[in-house]
Amino acid sequence: MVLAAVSLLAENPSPSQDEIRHALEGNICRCTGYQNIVEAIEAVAR
Amino acid sequence: MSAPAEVVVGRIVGTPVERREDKKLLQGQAQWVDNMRLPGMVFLGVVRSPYAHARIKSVNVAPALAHADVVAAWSGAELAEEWQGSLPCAWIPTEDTNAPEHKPVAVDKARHAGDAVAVVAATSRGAAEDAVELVEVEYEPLPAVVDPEAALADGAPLVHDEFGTNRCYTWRLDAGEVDRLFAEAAVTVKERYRQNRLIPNAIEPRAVFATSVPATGEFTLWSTTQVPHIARVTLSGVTGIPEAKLRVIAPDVGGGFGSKLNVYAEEALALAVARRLGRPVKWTETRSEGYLSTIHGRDQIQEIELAATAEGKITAVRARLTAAMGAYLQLVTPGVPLLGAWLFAGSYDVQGYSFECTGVFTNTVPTDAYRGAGRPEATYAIERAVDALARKLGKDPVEVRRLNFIREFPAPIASGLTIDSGDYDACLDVALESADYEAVRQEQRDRRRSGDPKRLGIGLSTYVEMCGLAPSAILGAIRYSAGGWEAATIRCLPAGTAQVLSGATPHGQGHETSWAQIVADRLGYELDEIEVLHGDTAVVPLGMDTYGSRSLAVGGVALYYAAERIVEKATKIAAKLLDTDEEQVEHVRGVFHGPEGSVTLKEVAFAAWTAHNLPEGVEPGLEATYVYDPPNFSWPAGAHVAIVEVDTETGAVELRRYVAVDDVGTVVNPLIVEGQVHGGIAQGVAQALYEEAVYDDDGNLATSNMVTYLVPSAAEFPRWELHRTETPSPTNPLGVKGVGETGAIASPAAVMNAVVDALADDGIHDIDMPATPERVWRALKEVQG
Repeated sequence: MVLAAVSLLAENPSPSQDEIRHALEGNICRCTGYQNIVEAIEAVAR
Repeated sequence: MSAPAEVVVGRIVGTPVERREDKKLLQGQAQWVDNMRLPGMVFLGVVRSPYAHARIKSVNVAPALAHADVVAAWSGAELAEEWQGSLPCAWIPTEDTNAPEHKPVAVDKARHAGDAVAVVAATSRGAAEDAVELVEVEYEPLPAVVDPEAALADGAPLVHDEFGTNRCYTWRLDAGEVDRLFAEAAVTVKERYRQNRLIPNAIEPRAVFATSVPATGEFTLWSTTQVPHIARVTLSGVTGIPEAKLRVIAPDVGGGFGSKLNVYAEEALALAVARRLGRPVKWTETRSEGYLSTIHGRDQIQEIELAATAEGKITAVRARLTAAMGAYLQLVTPGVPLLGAWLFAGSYDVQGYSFECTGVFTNTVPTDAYRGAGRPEATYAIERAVDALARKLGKDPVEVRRLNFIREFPAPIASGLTIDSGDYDACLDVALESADYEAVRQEQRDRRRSGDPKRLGIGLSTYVEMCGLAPSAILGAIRYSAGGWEAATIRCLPAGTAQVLSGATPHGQGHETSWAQIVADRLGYELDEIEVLHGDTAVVPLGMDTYGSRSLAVGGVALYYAAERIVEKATKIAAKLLDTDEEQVEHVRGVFHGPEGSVTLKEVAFAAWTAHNLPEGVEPGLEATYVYDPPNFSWPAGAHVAIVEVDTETGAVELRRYVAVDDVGTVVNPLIVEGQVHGGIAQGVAQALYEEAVYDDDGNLATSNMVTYLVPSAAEFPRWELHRTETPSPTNPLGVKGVGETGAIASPAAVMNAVVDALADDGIHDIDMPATPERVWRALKEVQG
C-alpha cells in the first residue's frame, strides 16, 4: 500500500479520489475498508 | 439487570486518540508467528485430500522419508495415539446432535477437499512442501454432497456413515400464537434467501509454532489465534498435555474476523509433532491452503415468512434455516446460525415468533464464525422481507419500518430476550437526511420515466444486533460449553507506571489504546504510562478472548470495575498516609484529597510496595482483578442506506453511496469505532456484490485462490459516509455496546435491498448474493423472456 501510494504520487502529485482508489487496486486490505488509506494519500497529496 | 451507574465520559474516553499499536505495525516491528525461528526447528507440511469424499485405502510415507531434509512423516493412523480427544466443538446445541469424531488427521475417510491425511516434518519449508508431494495416498473416491438441501435428501451420500443421515441437529424457538397470527393476517409474505458461503481472508495467514522442554513436559504454542485461553483448555483435551504445562501465546495477529476464533488441527499437530521429535515445530498456511483448511462463513438457505395487518404492522415472524456445517464441527460451527435465532424480527415489535434451524453436514470445509456470525444472516432475512412486505403493500419501506419499530425500552422481544436501550427512529432520521432520501427517490422516478437503462436503487437496513457475548447463564442454557465473562487486572507498579492485563485478546482492534484510555480516565495515568498486556496465558491467566464484539462491552467493563477496586484499596492507604479517615478522602482521577493535603495514586502505589505504613489488614501491593459476567447482551443498532446504480444492459451494479448511522452506545475512541465500521461495511458489501466460495458438484473448491475468489479492492468501494447516534447502554457503567460486527451485519441487506429496489419495476424481486453482473443480467433476461 505504502509503495503503491508513493509510486502514484511520484507520477501524479494531485490525484483524484478515483485515481487513488485505482492505484491501490493491486493491494488488498481486509480491515480498513480502504477509507483511511485513501484519505491518508489525499492528505499527503494536498 | 444491574442498576446503571454513572456514564463515564471523561478527559480521554470519547476522544480520538491515535492507535498506540500502529507505529510498531507500520515500521515492521510486529511479532508475527511466521517470523519466529529457533535452532533445530522443523517445518510441518500437511498432506491434504484432493477429493471431497474418499476412503483412505493406504498411506505410504516412505518416499517422503527418503528425502534428505525430511525428519519424519506419519499417516493419520500412525498419529492416532497422540489424540486424547477430538478437536473441540464447544457448542452442541441439542441432546441429540450428531457430533462426529474429528481427529486432527483423518484415518479412514477424507470428508472434504483439504482434509488432512498425513503430515511431514522437514528442516526447511521448501523441503516440507516437496515431501508433501512425495507421500503416496491411495484413495477410493466416493460421491460427494455440497448443497445442504441436497444433503438432506434420501439417498444423499453420507458425510458421516455412522449417523445414517447428514442432519446434524434441529433447533427450535417458538413464542406466541404464531399459527393463529398467520391465519388471521391480512397480508403475508414468504421469501427464500441464500446466504453465500464466504472465505474470511484475514491478511495474515494462519501459523503455529510449538516448542517443548522434554525434561519437564512443558509446551509453548504461539498461534495466530483470537482465543489463546480457549485454545489452551481445549488443546490440552486434544493432546493430553496438562493445562498447567501448556502455555499459549497469540503475539501480534493480523486479522481474524472469526476465522481465528477456532482451535485447528494444525495447532494440535504442531504440539504432537513437537512432543514426538523434541524439536520446535512451525507451520504456516499458504493462501490457497487456507482456503481448504481455515473455516468458511455463512452458507445457509433461509425461508422467512411475515404475517401483517393490511396497514403493514407485522404480527408474527416465522424463520426456517438450513445451515451447512461442512464436514466437521469446529469450535462453534453448530451454534453460529443460532446466534441469529433471536433476531429474525429485527428492530420490529411482533407478537409471534417461530425459528427453526437444521444443521447439515456437507463435504465442504467446516463453516464457523465469520464477522457477525448468525446476525448478518438474520438481519438480511428480516430486512429483505420487510422490503418485500412494503412492495406487496405498495408502501415506502421507510413507512413500513416506522410502523413497526420497537420504541419502549427496556424491550422484552418475542424471541425471549430483552433489548436494553435504543432509538431506532433517531438513526433512521439521520440516515434519511444524510442520504437525501426524497431527492434520490425523485431521481429514481425521473430515470424510470426517461427510460434510463441505468436504474437507481435505494436500500435500507434498520438493524439491531445482539453482541457483547455473553451472560454465562444464558450461554449455559443454550448448551454452550464455556462462560461469557471477561477478566481484567490493573497492576500499579511502584515507580509510577501501570500494567493492564486483558483477558480479551486483540488481533487488530486497538485494545492497547482503548484500554489505556479507560484506565487513564479513571486513575489519572498518562496513556504512555500504561502498558496493556494480552494474548499470553502465562501473563494473563484469566481470559475468554475476543469475538462477538465482546471485548469492550465485557472486557472493558471488567477493566472499569478493576479500576474501582484499585480506588477502593488506594483510598484506604491514602487515608493512612494523609492521617485521616477513609471517609474523609475523595478520589478524583488519580489524586486522593484529604482535609489537609493530598497524595497521588503513584505515591500510594509506592507506599503499597514499601509497605512501611499500611493500614491494619491491608495487604502490600496495589493490584486488582475483576471478572465481569454481563447481565445482558448488548444491542447496537442503526440505519444503513445504500444507493446503487444497476446497468440493465450489462448487469453491472455500482454502489454509488453508502450512508451508515450506528448507535453503539458510548464511544471510547471514535477513530477506532469508525475504523471498525469502515471495515465491517466493506466485508458486508463484499458479501452482497463480490464474494462467494463456490464448490462444483464433485466438491472441488472452484474459487480456490484470490484470482477466483474476489476480495474487493479500494476501486470497488465508494467513500463510506458515517454518522452516529448515542443511547448509552444502561447495562454497564461505561454505557458501551460493541462495534466490531455492526457494519458486516447491516450492509448486505442494505445493498441487496437497493439492487432489488432498482430492478423491482423490471419485475425482479430477488437476486442471490453476490449480485454479480452475470447474475443480474441473467435475471433480467429471464423476466424479459
